[in-house]
Order: sequence, then C-alpha cells, then structure tokens
Amino acid sequence: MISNNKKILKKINNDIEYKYGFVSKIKEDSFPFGLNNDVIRNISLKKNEPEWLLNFRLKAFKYFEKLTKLNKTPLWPELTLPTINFDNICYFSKPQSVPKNIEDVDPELIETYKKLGIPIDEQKRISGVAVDAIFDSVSIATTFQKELEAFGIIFSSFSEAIANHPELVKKYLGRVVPYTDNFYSALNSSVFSDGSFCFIPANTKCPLELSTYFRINAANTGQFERTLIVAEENSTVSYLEGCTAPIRNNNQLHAAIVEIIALENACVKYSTVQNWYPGNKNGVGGILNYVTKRGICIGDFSKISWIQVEVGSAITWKYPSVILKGKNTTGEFFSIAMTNNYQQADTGTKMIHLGEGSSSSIISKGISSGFSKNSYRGMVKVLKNAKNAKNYSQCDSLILGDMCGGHTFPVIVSYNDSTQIEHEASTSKLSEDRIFYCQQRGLSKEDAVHLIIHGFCKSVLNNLPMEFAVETRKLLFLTLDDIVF
Amino acid sequence: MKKDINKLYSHLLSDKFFAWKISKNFSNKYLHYLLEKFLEIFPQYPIDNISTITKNLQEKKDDSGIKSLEEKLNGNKSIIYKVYSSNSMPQKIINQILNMYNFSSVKHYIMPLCLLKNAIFIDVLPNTNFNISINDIKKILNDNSVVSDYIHIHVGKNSIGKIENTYNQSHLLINSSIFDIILEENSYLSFTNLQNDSSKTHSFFSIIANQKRKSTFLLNNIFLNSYITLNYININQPEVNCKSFIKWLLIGSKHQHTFDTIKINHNNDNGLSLEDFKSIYYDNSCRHLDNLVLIRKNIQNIRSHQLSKNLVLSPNVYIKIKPSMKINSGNIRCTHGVVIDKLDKNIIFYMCSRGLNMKVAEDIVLISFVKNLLDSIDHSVFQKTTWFYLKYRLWILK
Amino acid sequence: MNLIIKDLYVSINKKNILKGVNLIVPQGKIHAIMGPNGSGKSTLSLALAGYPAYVIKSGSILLNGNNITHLTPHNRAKKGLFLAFQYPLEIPGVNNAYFLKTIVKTHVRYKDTGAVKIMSLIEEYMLKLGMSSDFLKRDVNEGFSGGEKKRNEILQMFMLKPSFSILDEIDSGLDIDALKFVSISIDRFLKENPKSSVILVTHYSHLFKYIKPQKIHILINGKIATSGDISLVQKLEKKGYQGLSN
Repeated sequence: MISNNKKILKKINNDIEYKYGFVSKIKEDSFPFGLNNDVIRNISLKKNEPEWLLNFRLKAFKYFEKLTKLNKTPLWPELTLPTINFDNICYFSKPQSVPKNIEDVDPELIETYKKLGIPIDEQKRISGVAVDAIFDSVSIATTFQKELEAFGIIFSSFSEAIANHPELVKKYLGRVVPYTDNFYSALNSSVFSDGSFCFIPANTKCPLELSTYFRINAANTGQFERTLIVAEENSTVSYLEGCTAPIRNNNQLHAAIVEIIALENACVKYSTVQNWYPGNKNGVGGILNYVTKRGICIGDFSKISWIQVEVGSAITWKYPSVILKGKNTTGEFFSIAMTNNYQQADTGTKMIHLGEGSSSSIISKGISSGFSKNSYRGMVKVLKNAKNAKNYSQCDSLILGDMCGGHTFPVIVSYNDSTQIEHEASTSKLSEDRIFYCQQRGLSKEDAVHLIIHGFCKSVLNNLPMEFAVETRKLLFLTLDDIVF
Repeated sequence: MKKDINKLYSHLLSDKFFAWKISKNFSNKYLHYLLEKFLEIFPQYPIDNISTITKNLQEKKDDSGIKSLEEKLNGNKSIIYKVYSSNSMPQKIINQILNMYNFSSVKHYIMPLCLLKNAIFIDVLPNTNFNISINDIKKILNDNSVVSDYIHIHVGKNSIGKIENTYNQSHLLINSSIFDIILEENSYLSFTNLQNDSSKTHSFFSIIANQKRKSTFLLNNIFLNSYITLNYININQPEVNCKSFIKWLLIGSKHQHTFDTIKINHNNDNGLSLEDFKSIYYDNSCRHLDNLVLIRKNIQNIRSHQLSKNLVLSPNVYIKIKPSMKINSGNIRCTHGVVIDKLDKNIIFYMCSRGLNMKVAEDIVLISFVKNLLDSIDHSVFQKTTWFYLKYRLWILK
Repeated sequence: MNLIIKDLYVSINKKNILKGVNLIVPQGKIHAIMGPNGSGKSTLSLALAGYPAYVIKSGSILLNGNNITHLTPHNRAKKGLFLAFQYPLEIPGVNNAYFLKTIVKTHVRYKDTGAVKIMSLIEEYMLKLGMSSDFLKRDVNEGFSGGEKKRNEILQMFMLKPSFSILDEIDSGLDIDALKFVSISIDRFLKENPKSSVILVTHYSHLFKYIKPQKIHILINGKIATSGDISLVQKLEKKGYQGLSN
C-alpha cells in the first residue's frame, strides 16, 4: 500500500499541462502602478461614470486605507498568504480597441476565446448560451443581448449597465457585499473595472444560459470584477462563470465580488468552473483568487444555488454564501475543489438562516494531493427567528499522498429550539481495494480511478447546467490524470 | 475589560492561590498576558463573579489531616499516593506542575491553574489492577466552598483499572480539577467524571493525557449542573497503537454555560479515537464545543470518528459546535457528524395515542436518547448514582 | 482455459502466507480448494487476480500458457480471469447499471454489440438470477445484503463469460435457499460454457451438493497438503483438517 503511494507521488512531479497558459498579443492601455485617490478618479473618468459611483469608490478606498494602516491581513485561514505589495500592481488595463459591435472585435481576441473553446463571433456562437467575454477586466463582447432584451432581460457588461440602467445598479450595488465587509471587498469596491450585470424582470424565465468568461492577459495587473445579478419575483436564471489565465512567474491578484439578489419566488443558479493558472510544480506563480460571493434570498420562497468546480489558482479563498432572509427560502452550495503541487484552497460557504422555514444544503468534495492544502470552512447559523430551519451538510475529502493536507472546519450555530441540522464529514484516501475491484473487472487503472472519483463527485456534478457538465467533467479528469498518473 | 482583568488578577495573586507561585516562577506580566488570552477565548467569562468569589474565600486550611490520609491511602502496596496541600507544597512539586504546561494550550486552563490549591500524585505500579476513587481525598484536602486540585496519575505498564471523580457538593463555589495522566505501554484506564454542582458553581475540568504504545484510554464525562463549566481535554498519541474513547453527556439547564475544548493529537501509526457526545438543553443554557482532531504528516492507518447529537428543548438555547479535522496524512479514515434536533412530536403523539401521558412520553424519549451512552459506561456503582441524578434532573427541569 | 501454478510463494507485509503452491486446473474442469482459516485460501485467490498488496516472491502463474505472474490486474482480467470477491466492495456514487455497461464495453466480446442489446442481456441475466430491476438504480454494492452482493458478482460473471473463474467463498453469507439458487446458476453457466474452468474456494462442502468438483485440494499452512476426488470430502468430515494433514 505504501509503495503504491510512493509511485503515485513520483508521477506527481510532472508539470501540469496547463493548456490555457498562452499569452495573447493585444495592445493594452494601462495605468501606472500604484493605488491612490487619483488612480481611482482616473478609472472612474476613463469609464465615464456618474458622480454617485465615483463617491462609492472613494468611500470604499478610504475604508481600504484605514484597514491597510491597521494591518488587517487575517490570520485565521489555513493558508500561507504571500505578502501583496499593493503599490506594485496596475489597477486598470484594457485592450486598446474595444469596439461596440462584435464584428469589429480585434481578431486576435476572437482567436483567444476560440482557443479557450468559447467562440464569440456571430457565426459560431454556442446556441443556448449567451456569453459576456471579459478580457483583462473589460467586457469585449456580449452575445445574444438583443434577443434577451426582447424578454426584458438585461445582460450586459457592468460598464454598459451603469451607462444604460444607472438606477437599477445604484439600487442594488453593495447591498449584499458592502465595502466594509472585508479587506478585499473594500479594495474591489474602489477599483473594480468591469464584470457582468444581469437583471431578470418579474415572471420571466431566462431562456438561455448566461455566462461570463474571464480571461486575464496583461502582466502585473490585478483583476477586480464586479458581478451583480438581480432576479425579480418569479424569475429564473442560470449563470456560469469560467476563468483562465496565462502562465506567469509571479502571483496575480484576482479579487472579485459577486452579488446576487433574489426576490420572491425567484431562482438563481450560479455555477463557476475555475481554472486559473495554479502555479508551476514548485509553487511559483499562479493566480491569487480572493473572491467574495454572496447571495441574499430577500423574497419568500426564493432560492439561490452556488455550484463551483475549483481546479486552478495558486490560492483559492472564497466562501460563496447565502443569506436566507425570506420565509421558506432555500440556499444550496455544491463544490468540488482539487488541489495539487503547492496549491492552497480555503473555501466553503456560509448559510445564514434568518427566515422561518428556511433550508440549506451543502455538499462539498475536496481532493488534495502533492504538497497542497485543501480546507473546507463552513458556517451554518440559525438565528432566533428562523423557526423550523433545516440544514443538511456533507463534506467529504480525499487525500492522495502523505504530504498534503485535507482539513475541515465547520461551525454550526443554533439559537432556537425548532432547528434541524445534520452535518457529516469524512476524510479518507483513494481506496486501493476499490481500484483493484474495478481492475479485476477489466478496467484499466485510469478508468478505475475516473470511475471512483466520478462517483465521489457525482452529487455535485449533477447540479451543473447540462451545457457545461461534459466540459467540466473533462477538465476534472484531465486535472486528475496529472495528479494520479 | 482591562479593569476587570486587573481586579481578578489582584484577587488571584493572594497567597491563597497558586497564581502567586506562577507569577513568581514566570513573571507577573506573563501571567497577566495568559489571563488576557484566556479572556480572548472565553469573552463571556463572568470575571466579576469569580472576582467576588475569590475575594471572599476562606484562609488556608490546616494540614493536620493530610499525613493520616496518606498513611491510610498507602495501605495498598501497588498504588503509591503522595498528597500535598497548598500550605506544604515543596518547590520541587510546584516546578513539576508548572512544567506540564504547554505554551499553546495553557491559556485554556490558566484559570484553574491559578486557582489551584492541592496536588495529588497517584502512581499505579506496573501489572496492577486498580479501582480508585478520588472523592475522599478531595473532601479532606478541600473546604466547603472551593475544591481545586491538581491530580497526577501515572499508570504503569500493563496495568488495568478505573478511576472515578464524582465528588460533588451542592454548595461549592469553585469545583476545579486538573488531571495530568500518563499511560504507560499496554495500560488501560477507564476514567469516569461526574459533575453535578449548583447553579452557582464555576466548574473547571482539564485532562492532559499522554499515551504510550498500545495503551487505551476511556474517558466518560457526565455534566449535569453548574453555572459555568470550562473543560479542556487534550489527548496525545505520540506512540503507535493507541486507542482513545470519549463518551460525553451534558444536560444544560437554567443559565448554564459550558465551554468544551477537546484536542486529539494523532502523532503515530495505528491510532484510534472515537468520540460520542450526547446533550440535552433546557432553559437558557448555552454550549460551545470545539473539537479538533489533528493528524500529523506521514502517519499510517488512523481512524477517528466523532459524533455529537444535541436535543434542544427550549427556544432560548444557544449552541455553537466546531468539529474540526486537520489531516496531513493520506492513510486514514476520519469522520465526524453533528445533529441538532428537537423532540420528535410524531413519536410523542404515537405514545400518547397508546395511552401514555405526555410527560411520561417525553421522559421516555429523553431517557432513551441518553440510555445507550450511559449503559456503555463500565462503572456499575456510578451508573446507579447517575441514573438517579439524571432522572431527578430531568424531573425537576420540566 | 487451463491454469498452472508452479511453486508460488506469496507474502504480505513481509509475512509469508503461500509457501510453494503447486496446482494444475485443466480446461473445462471444476476444482475446489478447501482449508482451515488462515491457510491462505483468500490469499491465493487475490494473488491470482493480482492484488497489489500481495507480493509474489517466486514461482509462476500460467493461464493457458501465458505467464501472467507479473501482469496488472486489469490485464489479467482481459485474458479471461475473473474473481468473485469474498467481500465485494462498495463503490458509492457509481450506479450499478453504469458500472455493468462500462465493464462490458471494455470487453472484447461485446466490442460490436450495441448499448440496447447489452441492457437487454443484463436484464435477462438479472431475471435468471432472481434480481429485481431496482437493483440497477442503486450504487454498486452500496447497502446490499450479503446475498445481494454475491448475486451481483455472479451477474458480472454471466456478463463477462470468463474462461477462468475463481469463486472465493461464494457460499458464505448466503442462506440455504440463496445458496441453492446461486449454485444452480453457476452450474448452468458451466454447462453452457464447457471450456470455462472454475476454482471454488470454500470452507464447507455444502456447495458440492449442487456443483460437483472433479478434484479437491486441501490448502494448509500455505501449501497444498493433499488432493483427491470428491471422496476426500468424506475423509475430511471424519478427520477434520488436523487429521488430514497428519
């Protein structure tokens, strides 16, 4: 048994073939490095933003400066955080030509997205999926916008939304994740560049999958996207976020915010397939993925589901959460986090039960190998007035090898007597006996491992939108093959 | 908050308490620092309350009973007792007590350490079968309002036996025990602890256990009544083939606050730890449970299972449970589970429909909830007393 | 297909279990291996299938003339070797129907068979084995009773039609009726596939009421102590394993 583990470990020394590691030759407009009030004013100016938004940014920056002075880098996560020199980052970079029509988009950009498997030119659009392509913090193309407008659905880049629907953005921006929430939310609220805005009017079921593909290209820039999704009464939407970045020798910071608001009886599903560059086999480089994602189920009977498959980035630090304010609301969190080499992941969720009859489900699967650290950190909090609240959590970890860590830190808090909470977690290794059983039935070792891990992750994968399930499974197995073989 | 620490600190530093000896051996500053750290972990700790208690405590007892106690105890040649009261504790013993502490964990038991009065050393020689009750020793060494002892237990190779700590007086203001347990190779210890004090008692219970190879440690804890209980359990398995089993029953009532911190360190191969917690909460009781299982790198074949079941019977109850696992090795199988539930109205209705009175039906459900746990505690005399206390408790709590 | 085992020494965790096993099972024959607990019966079965924890120190295993001693488990399976596990493993999250389809698809025999035909074959065999259709909806062996797990093993055997099967204590955990049913099914399989050979590993001779082995080998202390025809069973019942080894 031990000798087999050693064999597996030897094979881990092969570098991951990160096939998205190419750099596109695009001319960029970039600000000089560093962060101060002037940089913020310039960002706002460049984007033609209204006064209220500039003030929002400045307030957030003031708070960020206050936090920096207090040296508030948190010590509680199970992560070794690299020091970030905030003055050594460029906070705004955009491709020089950002045209209004997709026909005028720089062909190099179209080629980039094609290589990523996301065609954005008119002829080759994936039917059934509307795409907002974000290249280095700027939205360069949004498909199917007109078709969606016919339904009253607004799906556009954040900048466009500020220009065309300022009252909507103003109403909801910062309501779920205020800039005072944490260090990186303050930073993001000051310098956010672009992102997606999505508004589903009442009684509308969005006919297409909405998705955003984030692509980081420029070096030494930080990426600060902001996504806002508002689902009015009785509406439904399913949203997918995909991300990749080039291979570089230093860490790049990605501090995004995603806010979701669900009104009465609305249903929002937000899926993420994260494949940021994870750093090389010695842990050099890689994206620092510090993201604040939160949804609030304001209206009764509303539902927000977070589904994430995290296989990349040097450090993943995110807790997609749901605040269950309304009555009989539902929050769901499904996650697969895979770490290898020197990657670190401290991820999980917070389900805050405020409304009566609220319920939440958490299914988290972690797979760690190499020298990586993979932690689940979750909180289920049932407050006093959340009568008859229910929660079911299941967190499973697979540890491949003897040098990696698989940790679980759940916190369960209950303030009343009608709560029903069930939490179970298990950590184990990949059973050699199970692999042998499958092999004896004629399956090769690769196929046996795929089968078992697929079974392990099935309850999460089954919740991904169908359009992306196949690609995600492929990505999962590709990453897995690098780990096990 | 600073004012309060200073007040507490000044009361603790009288020579009534061990705190004075700590500050002499380390420094006042260090002690102050540890108390601050303590309050960071337990910010709700009622400092005012304990300051009042410590201020008004009686002066030291005289030591006349101790020599005869020691003589009586040492009748059995295979168990050696040494007993020291606060008046007559030699520096060597003070040093030994202070040496047990581990910088990272002492903040959890600094309060009981400061309040320490007596030291009891129990040395069980190898190849001995034993059945020890600490109650009488505690009674003689302590007075009517404060029980505060450090008990060092050394179980020799191949020895098998039980230890019982069920000393309770309903008028105790402080009931504190710090146990330092060493289990030698192939030994077996079943430790049973019952706490059933008054709703004014500050209760402290700490166990730091170090297991040598092939040893087995069973810890059975029953907490029935106190004002505030701080428990710290640290089990270390630095050698191979160690087994630890923890069974824990808590019944929280009135304004009872319970803070439980449990750490199990698996530092070597073939370890096993099983933890089973069952709790029933009434009135305004509140509970914090912090249960950490830590597995070091490069360790083979560890199994660890924790399960906590909680029954909440009042809308003002607050529970916070943090079952954590920090695992750095691959060849392991660890699970944990937490269930928070209310009384199943359907079951009660079913029993009522068969002619049972609602209170009787509730009784049956509650007792069956704890029955398995209690029955599995291998201590027959203890069981009878516990059943009595339990039923009495459940009866008067309705 | 025949099996020749020459001087096989197998150890696990540096402990020697098989100390020179010699065995020949000719094509189309049914042989039984019996022995007391700890004699190495399961070790032999698992070592033949290629269980990685068992180290083959010396000796060889020839399956129809092919040396499979150092082949990986799945390559041995591809050569027609099948092991019905004594304790079949659970694979949570993996649906039974999917598992059966997967293992069948990789088999040469079904290379050109369509998915629909495969499903109907599975259903046909399930009927023959008295298994209800909801068995397909469950995960592999998860929550199965002992008898259900053994039936699942036999179902896989029917689908894969191995040329050489080792049935490791197929009778343990089964009640009298289930035992009869399973034995009759195996017997039928062997009659329908006369070139297939089988090794039955067992403690007790109940199984032989329904499946008649041509030869019985007694394994004691990691070696074959004695072999004989079915009359050996009666001697065994009189003298016990101790008596026979003297």
